[in-house]
Amino acid sequence: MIVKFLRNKVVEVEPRKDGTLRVSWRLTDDLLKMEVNLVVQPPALEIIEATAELGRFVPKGLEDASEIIEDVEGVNIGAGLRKIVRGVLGGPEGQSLLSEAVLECCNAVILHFTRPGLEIGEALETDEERLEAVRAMVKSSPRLVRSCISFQDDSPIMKGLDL
Amino acid sequence: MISFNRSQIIGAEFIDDDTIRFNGSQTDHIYNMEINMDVRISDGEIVKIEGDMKRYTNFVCPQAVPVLQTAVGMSLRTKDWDKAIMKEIGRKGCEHFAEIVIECGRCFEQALRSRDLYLALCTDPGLDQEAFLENWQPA
Amino acid sequence: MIIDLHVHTWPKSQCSQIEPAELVLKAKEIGLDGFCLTEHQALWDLEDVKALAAGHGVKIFRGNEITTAQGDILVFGLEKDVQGVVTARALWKDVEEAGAFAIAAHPFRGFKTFGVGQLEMNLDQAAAKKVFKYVHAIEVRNGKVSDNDNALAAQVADKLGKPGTGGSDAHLIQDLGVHVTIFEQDIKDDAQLLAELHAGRFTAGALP
Ligand SMILES: [Zn+2]
Ligand SMILES: [Zn+2]
Repeated sequence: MIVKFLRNKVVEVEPRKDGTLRVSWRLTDDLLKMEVNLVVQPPALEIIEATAELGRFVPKGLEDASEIIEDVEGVNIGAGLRKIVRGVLGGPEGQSLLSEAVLECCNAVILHFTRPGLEIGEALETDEERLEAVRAMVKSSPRLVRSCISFQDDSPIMKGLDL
Repeated sequence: MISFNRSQIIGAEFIDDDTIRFNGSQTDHIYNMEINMDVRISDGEIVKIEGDMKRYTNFVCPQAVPVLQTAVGMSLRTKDWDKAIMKEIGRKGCEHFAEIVIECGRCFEQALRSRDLYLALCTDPGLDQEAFLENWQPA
Repeated sequence: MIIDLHVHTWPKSQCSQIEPAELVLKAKEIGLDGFCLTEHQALWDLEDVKALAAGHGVKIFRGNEITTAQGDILVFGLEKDVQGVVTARALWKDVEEAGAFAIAAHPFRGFKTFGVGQLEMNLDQAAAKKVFKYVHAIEVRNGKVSDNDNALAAQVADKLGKPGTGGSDAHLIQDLGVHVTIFEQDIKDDAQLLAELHAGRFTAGALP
């Protein structure tokens, strides 16, 4: 059946020579075209630059998105991020599009840093070694506990893990 | 070069007057999964859902597939529906399944708007599209 | 006197699963002399706290955990109802005006899938975090972060010459008291707690 609506979204992280991370987020669907770009500076993961551009049929409240988004400059990707970004960019209905886009950019940065650890685990030879690697990850990242099915109390990963 | 990339694609079919069927997929360097979900248009309730986990990080992850059924009966029109999805499907199952369900949910109204504009243009190609969307209300 | 300075209860903190009543019993059971209710942007009513503590021999104090754009800050002695996300600088102005006390909460909380260690932040970079300009003390023992995250906070506190506090940040009853602040004096009420905080007569530690 022919779809009456199609949305395509992509977010990508590109480490640059100067040590910053460039995050590019794009959305296109039948009615909306939107782009958000962040520059994130490690090690504090401060958002040092944020831009946004919308096109096609721009939802109400987002006409000035390119100005509004500047308010996240200076925010660090870290504790309380969701509340901070939603608080700073919050406002009339529909603007959540902008805060959620920024949060997805930040999430991509987190996954950029997550990838190397997972690759190390994947390179291990045996199932036991891999299980130990996941358990070590839980031990060093308390927030993983009960964050998804793999880290619930009755998961085989968590059983016998004294935290 | 790019160190991380995530793509989401959400399509919406209208399988009858009161049912919208989403197909959502999410692929990134780490994960790859897909959701099919039917939503009743009149009240926004998720009536059917299935998921397929193709690439994931540990052997427990696929146990999140049956957890998806908790979404059946939840409505995309209740306040904080997205938080509820993240809690029930994400934390108790898989965060990435929840991300796809949420993106489908965010497309709900937009898909209705798209369909209505498309159909209106079929009968009136000269239609003022901005004005149409401005005045658009869910039926 | 051993006090858990950072505790959340339901429903004032929606993210917590701890019932206020069970908290009092648990505190007594594990040997806390007191704890401080630091909900997310909600201050307990003094009368409610008195009623909760009545007859249990455990002291209950009142604080508030405020989300600022620069990070979470625990405040003590600030009655103002702060809503939404404020800047640390704006909060600091309120804190100074009220003679309140501010602590940077879990300043280096790692991420779900990797620790702050991976960011290879050196001590100077860590200490340059803006939030530290607007607090009196730093939470160097927090129950929701990894040992590495706490260690970095302790080093920064040392470097900046700010005192360190401890608190569980409990959202589940079993987490109460995993980290505490040990005060030199016996403390009877919020006013005295504030005075002892300002006097710096405390250290971060664990239950014996
Ligand atoms: Zn909380
Ligand atoms: Zn807290």
